[in-house]
Amino acid sequence: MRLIVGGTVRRGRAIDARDLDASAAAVAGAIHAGSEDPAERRGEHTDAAGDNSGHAAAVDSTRDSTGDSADDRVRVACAPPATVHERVGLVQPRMRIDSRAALADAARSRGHQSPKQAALTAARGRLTEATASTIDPAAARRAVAEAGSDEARLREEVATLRGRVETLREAGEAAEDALAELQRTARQLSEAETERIAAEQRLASAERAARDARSARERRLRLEDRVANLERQVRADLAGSVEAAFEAALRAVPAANGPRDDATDSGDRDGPVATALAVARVAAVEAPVVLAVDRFADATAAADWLDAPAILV
Amino acid sequence: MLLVVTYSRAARSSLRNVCRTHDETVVRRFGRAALLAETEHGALLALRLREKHAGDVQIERTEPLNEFATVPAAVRTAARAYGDREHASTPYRAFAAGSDHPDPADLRRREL
Repeated sequence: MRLIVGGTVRRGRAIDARDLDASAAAVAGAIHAGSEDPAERRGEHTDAAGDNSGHAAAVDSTRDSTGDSADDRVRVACAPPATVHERVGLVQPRMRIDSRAALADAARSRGHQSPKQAALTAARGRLTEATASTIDPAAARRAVAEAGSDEARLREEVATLRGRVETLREAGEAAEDALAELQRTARQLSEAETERIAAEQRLASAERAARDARSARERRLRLEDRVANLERQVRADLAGSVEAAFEAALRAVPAANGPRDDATDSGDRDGPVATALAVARVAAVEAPVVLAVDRFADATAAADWLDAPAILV
Repeated sequence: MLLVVTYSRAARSSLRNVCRTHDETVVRRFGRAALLAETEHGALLALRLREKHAGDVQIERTEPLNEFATVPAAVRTAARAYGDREHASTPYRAFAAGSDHPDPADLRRREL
């Protein structure tokens, strides 16, 4: 493993970087970022100390998605981080950790598998196939509403015009123009009524299609639930497979030892810091763990306890 | 009332949150579905859900069934008589056969 901070290079399985001007976040970010240099990634730049690092990681501040931890003076050459590393790769005060998920990742890093994994993979496969059509009767509903209001408006006009024709006739006055207008409007009303009925039929048809689509959605929902249940069971199986080792590791976590081990949070026997350390010990961790806590006397003690490369920051 | 039915985990979860936050507008909850008050607020909540989850949200409008206004007397009578039937295991079809009660095929064909 190789840590580069500005002009300083340090090598080895256990590196003490507390005296260097590099934040824990920057070092952790450097471990996760991939190298831009394919030759470096292939491990062609082996250094004199014979580090067998097949992965050189560098922070490129223009690529780093973790803006404030990007620091292009900080680079780490090391093994690529596994999934569990995302959870326990940086141990610091006030950290949070999802124990169940972290233990599941730790179990995976040791090659454990849940007996339900095959069922989960199959269920996920069926879920991706369960597409639901997007029939949206909204347009048909709007058409019915508009046709209905057109018809209602014309019905009122016809009533008004009919009234006017009668009034004119009773008064003995000429009603031809009014009558013509009445007939014209009555024709429009008849068309509007036909259109409203047709729109209602189209809506009914769209509703029937939507109902069939919903049946497909229900089947998909049952699959979604089944996948979620299996994921929970797989996580529980995996976490369970390392439970004993984890409990033993928790009991062996060193006590709070310095100013950064605040007793209200990371000083607990089973708080997030202790949990992260115990998970890291149980997991098969190959990329270095960044430690911003004071529980270990030095980097070597940390690396030995964790059985993983360690960088004290 | 407005009946909202959900068809995905995400929509179901959103409905649950809505019911929790706006319980003055929620008349009844059924997990995947809920009855909302038929107010503009109920409509707003339902339509917001549909905006967010599209076809995974179904919205219907319900009314209490007034069987005296809406359901023919023959159907009401048949329901009451069937409830009083002699043998509990008799299906309605058999019960109605050879009686004055409406036959199930006709019942299925006729809309209220």
